[in-house]
Amino acid sequence: MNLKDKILIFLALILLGFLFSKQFGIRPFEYSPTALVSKAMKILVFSRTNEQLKKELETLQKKKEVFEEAVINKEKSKLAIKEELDTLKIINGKVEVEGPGIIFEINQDLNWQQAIDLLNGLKNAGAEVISFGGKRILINSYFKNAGKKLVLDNFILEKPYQIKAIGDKDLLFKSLTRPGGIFNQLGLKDTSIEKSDLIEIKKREDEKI
Amino acid sequence: MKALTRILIVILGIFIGFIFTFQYQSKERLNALINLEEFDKEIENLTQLQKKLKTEIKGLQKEIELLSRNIKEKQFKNDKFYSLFQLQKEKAGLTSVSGRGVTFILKDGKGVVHAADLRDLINFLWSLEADAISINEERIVYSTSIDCIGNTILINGKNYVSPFKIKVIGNQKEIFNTVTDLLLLPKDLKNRIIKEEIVLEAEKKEELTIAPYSGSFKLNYSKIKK
Repeated sequence: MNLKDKILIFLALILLGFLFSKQFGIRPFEYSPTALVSKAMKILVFSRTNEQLKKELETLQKKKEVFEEAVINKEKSKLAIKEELDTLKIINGKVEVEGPGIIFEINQDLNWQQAIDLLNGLKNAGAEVISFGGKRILINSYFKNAGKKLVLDNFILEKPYQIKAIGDKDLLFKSLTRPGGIFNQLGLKDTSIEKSDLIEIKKREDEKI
Repeated sequence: MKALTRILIVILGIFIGFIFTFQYQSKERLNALINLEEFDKEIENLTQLQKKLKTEIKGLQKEIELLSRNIKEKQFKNDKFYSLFQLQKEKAGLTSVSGRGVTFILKDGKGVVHAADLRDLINFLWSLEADAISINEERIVYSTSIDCIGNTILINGKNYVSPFKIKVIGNQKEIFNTVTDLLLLPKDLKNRIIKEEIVLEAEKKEELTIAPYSGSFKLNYSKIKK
């Protein structure tokens, strides 16, 4: 082999090495569709969360403006605080509430896990006020079972369980009844549901909170 | 040039050609990589934006809290109306709470922590008459939902991954003893812990602080019945 041949082979090997590194230097797992879907999902979740945070920021900015005015004006501050107090009384179950929403009945046995998953689903769909078996749901409400009976905050509930939720009635209705929705997920078959423009939910009489 | 050398160069040439072809066919995959890089950039941008928004929200909350104190000092000193407002804020989880309590760490074991595990545990803690609960500093409030989205868990609309630090203020002895006694835990949680699918650690704390809910309550549909 003369020098020219050696140089030729040497160059060919360099090129080969370069191509090898380019070809196999790519991490194969990054190509998988799962990675792509997972990243797309992350973007979706981040985008949604950021939208919520932006709305929250807007609400707080408005609140700040109201409070800034209220500092120099007692009447305005009383009004601002009263508005907030009304919201808090609704959240804490201290007053009777009305609004549009859904009302539904479940005429089958429920265990406590189904009950909290149902409640979680309603909250996720934006329910603002909920009553379960005639009892208003509070921040610290809990479910448990006593035999086959469902217990909410130490109150034994009887079938059929009537649930009322105030919020976007169409969204709440769909989240429960769509294929793969909350009813399907929880295996609830014996149910009846209707939308309403005016639902009334009573306050909690006991002093749980 | 010797015959052997020529053959070697021919084989090398074919191989290089093969690699070229393979490289060309990988164009689609390379495009995928470029997209993934774009995805990563977008995730980074969104993460930064989320941090910025959270910081701004915290800043605004502090300003509002200061204004609120200012209003109280100037206009509502010893005012029953304002005291009622403060009380309702406390009940709704809008104020910081301190006291004796327990911290739990719930984390992935041989399996992963599900949203349902957290929901079951929170329900159980409320049944033990906890006063206040937070998960990874997210205060559990009236509107809190805990859901699984992809490989993260969404709490108060924000995504978290294992480990989950749960702070609880309440009857320390009862909460600690009941939760750490596997026999008393809800069945599914107990089974997952026994099978080592998830891990639950508990620690008593003499002075625990739980931050207020960082969001705000906005009701669009509910009104007080007149």
